[in-house]
Amino acid sequence: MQVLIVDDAPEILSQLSRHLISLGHIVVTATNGVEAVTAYQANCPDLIIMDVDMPEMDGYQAAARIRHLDVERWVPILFLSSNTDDSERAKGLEAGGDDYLGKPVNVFLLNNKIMALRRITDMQDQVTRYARELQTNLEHNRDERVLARYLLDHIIRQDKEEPDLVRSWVSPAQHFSGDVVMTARTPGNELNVLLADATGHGLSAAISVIPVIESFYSMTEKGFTLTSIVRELNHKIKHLLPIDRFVAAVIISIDYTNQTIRVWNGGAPDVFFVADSGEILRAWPSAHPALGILSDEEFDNTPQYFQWEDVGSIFMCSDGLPEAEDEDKKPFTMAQVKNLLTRPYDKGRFQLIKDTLAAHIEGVQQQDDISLVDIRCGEPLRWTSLIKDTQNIQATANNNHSRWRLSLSLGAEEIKQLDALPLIMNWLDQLNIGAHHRGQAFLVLGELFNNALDHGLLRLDSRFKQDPNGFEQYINLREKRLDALADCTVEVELERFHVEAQERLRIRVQDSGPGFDYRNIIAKYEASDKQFSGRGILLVKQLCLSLEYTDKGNEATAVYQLSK
Amino acid sequence: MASTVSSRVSDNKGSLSLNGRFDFSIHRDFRSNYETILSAEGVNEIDVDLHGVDYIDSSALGMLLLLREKAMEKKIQMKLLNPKDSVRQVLEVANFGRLFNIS
Repeated sequence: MQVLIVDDAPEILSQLSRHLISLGHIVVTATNGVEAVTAYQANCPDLIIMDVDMPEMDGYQAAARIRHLDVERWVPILFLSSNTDDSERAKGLEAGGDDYLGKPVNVFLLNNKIMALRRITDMQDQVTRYARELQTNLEHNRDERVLARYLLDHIIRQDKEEPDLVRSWVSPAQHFSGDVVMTARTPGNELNVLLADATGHGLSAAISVIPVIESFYSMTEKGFTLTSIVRELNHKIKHLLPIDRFVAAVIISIDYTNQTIRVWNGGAPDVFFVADSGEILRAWPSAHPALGILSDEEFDNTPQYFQWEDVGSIFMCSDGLPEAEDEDKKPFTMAQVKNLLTRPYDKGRFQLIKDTLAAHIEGVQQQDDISLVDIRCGEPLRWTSLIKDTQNIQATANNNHSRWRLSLSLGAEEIKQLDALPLIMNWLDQLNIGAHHRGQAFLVLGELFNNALDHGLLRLDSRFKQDPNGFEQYINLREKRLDALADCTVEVELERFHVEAQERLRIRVQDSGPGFDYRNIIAKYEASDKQFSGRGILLVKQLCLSLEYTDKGNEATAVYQLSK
Repeated sequence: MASTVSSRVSDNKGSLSLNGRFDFSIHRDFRSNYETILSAEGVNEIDVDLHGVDYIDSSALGMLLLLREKAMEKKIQMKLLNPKDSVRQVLEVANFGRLFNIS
C-alpha cells in the first residue's frame, strides 16, 4: 500500500515512516494540510494517516479538501490527535475521516486499524470494479441491441409489404419482437402471408424467428407451394433451435384469381374469414403443433382450404392478444376478439380491436408480443389490366435471338414428391427471360401443369369447384387420388424460338391420361365469368398468343410472346 | 401469489405438482424437481399435475417439451394431469394432445 503520512512533528513523521516501511508499505510524507493536499493529488495514496493540529491548514480542513477534490475514489483517512474525547472524534469523522487514533501512537493499535481500513478499501475497490464492469456491460448490451434491432429491421423486407391488402400491427413486449409478419408474392402472383410467434419474447425470441424469414421469402419467390414452404420451415427450426424453443405460425396463401385461400395454422389462435357484413364465414383453428416441435417424419403439412364468394378479410393474431391481461389479471380472450370482429368492415374494425386492447392493458406492463393482421380478400383480380401490361412491354434491345429447348418428363413418384414448378422456374431464371415474363410464364405453366394433373391424370371434375362448399371436397378427393397415382407421366416442354423478329416461348404440357374435353369446358367458362373455376385457363388464353389442345385433349400448347 | 413446484416419488412413479403461474420464472425449480425424479431408481412413469396451475405460457410449453425429451430418452411414460379449462385451451391450441397423454 502507498501511505501518505502527515504530521508537523519530524520525529513522529520519521518514526511512523520507519514502522510502515518495515511493514512493506511505500511512504510519502507531508508536514501540513496544504502539503498533504498537494501530495495526495501527486501520489494517489491508498491510505492517509494525518495529524489534526498542524500549522497552515489543519487535518480537518485538509480532509474536507481531499474529499471535495476526489468524489470518485474513496481513500481512508486515519486521524492522529492527543485530544481523544468524543466530541473531538466526532469532528474528525464529520470532516471526512474514517477513524481516530490517540497520541502517542500505540503501534499495535495502529497495525490493527490499518488492517481494518485495508479490508474496507479492498471491498470498496471491488465494488468500484463491479460498477465499472456493470457499466461496460450495459454499454456493450446497448450497442448489441442497437445492432440487432438494425439487423432485424432490415431482414424483414419492407419493400415486400402490401399496404393495399395487408394491414398489420406488432407490439413488442420488449425492445425486440418474437412476432413477425411477412408478406411475399409467388411468381404466379399469389400472396403469401406469414405470422410467426417464437417462444418467449425479447432478443432470444427475435433470434429464433430469423431462420424462418429468409426461407419464407426465397421459397415464395421461387414459387414453392405452401406445403413445401411449411415443411422446410419446420425442418429448419427443428434443427436450429433447442428442444424447448419453437415458433407458432400461421401461413396463408391467397390466390386472388381463383379466390382461394390455403391456411396452415400450427399453435396460433383461430384465424377467421370475416365478410364485410361482420359475419364470420370461416374459422381455422390451430391444426398442428408449432413449427420446430415435430421431426420431418411426424410433421404434417396439410393446409386447410377456403374459397370466398363474399368480399371480406382474413383476421389473425398472435396469442399475445387473447392472453393480454388487465390490472386484475383478466385476459382479453378470443371471445372478445370474435365479438369485435362482428362489426361491419368499414367501421374501423382493426382500429377498434387496437383501441379496446389499449384500454384493457392500460397501466399494466405488457407480458408478451402482440400482433394483429388483416388481409383483404376482395373482388376477383381484374386481370384485363395485367394483359394490357403485357402488350405494352417494349421489345428487348437484345437482337441476338437466343434459342433453347427444355424438356422434362415426370413419373408418378416425382409428381407426388416434387414441387416441380419452382424447379422449372429455376431453369427459366438461369435462361434469363426477364422479371416480367417470369411471372407470366409461371402462371401459364402452372395452370397447364395443374390442369394436366388434376383433370388429365386424377380425373377430377372441375364442376365440383364451382360450388364454394365443393371446393374442400375437391381438394380431399384430389389428395386421395394423388396418393394412389401410379404408372403415368407428365411431360413439360419449354422452347424459346423466333418468328422473324418476334421472340416467343412455347409451353407444352402433355399428360398420359385418356384426354379431356377442353374445348367444351373453355366454351363454358367463356360463357359465364361467374364461374369459380376456370378463370386460370381463361387468363392463360388472354396472356398467350395462342392456346391449343391437341391429340385426345391431353396435350396443351401455349405460345407466349417475349418481344415484338 | 408465488408459483410453486413440488415433487414426489413413490414406487415407480414420479409426480410433479405445479401451482400458480407456470412460466419462465419457475424454470429453475421445475428443472431441479424433474431432475430429482429422473435420477431416482426404477421410475417408469412421470405425472405432471397441473390442477393448481391457472396460467401457462409458451416458455412453460417449452419446458414440458424438454421434460418429454428427457423422459423419452429414459423410456419413462409422461402424463399431464388435471389442467383447468383455461390451461387445457392453451394445450389444445398448441396441439399438445398429439405429443402428450393429457387427462
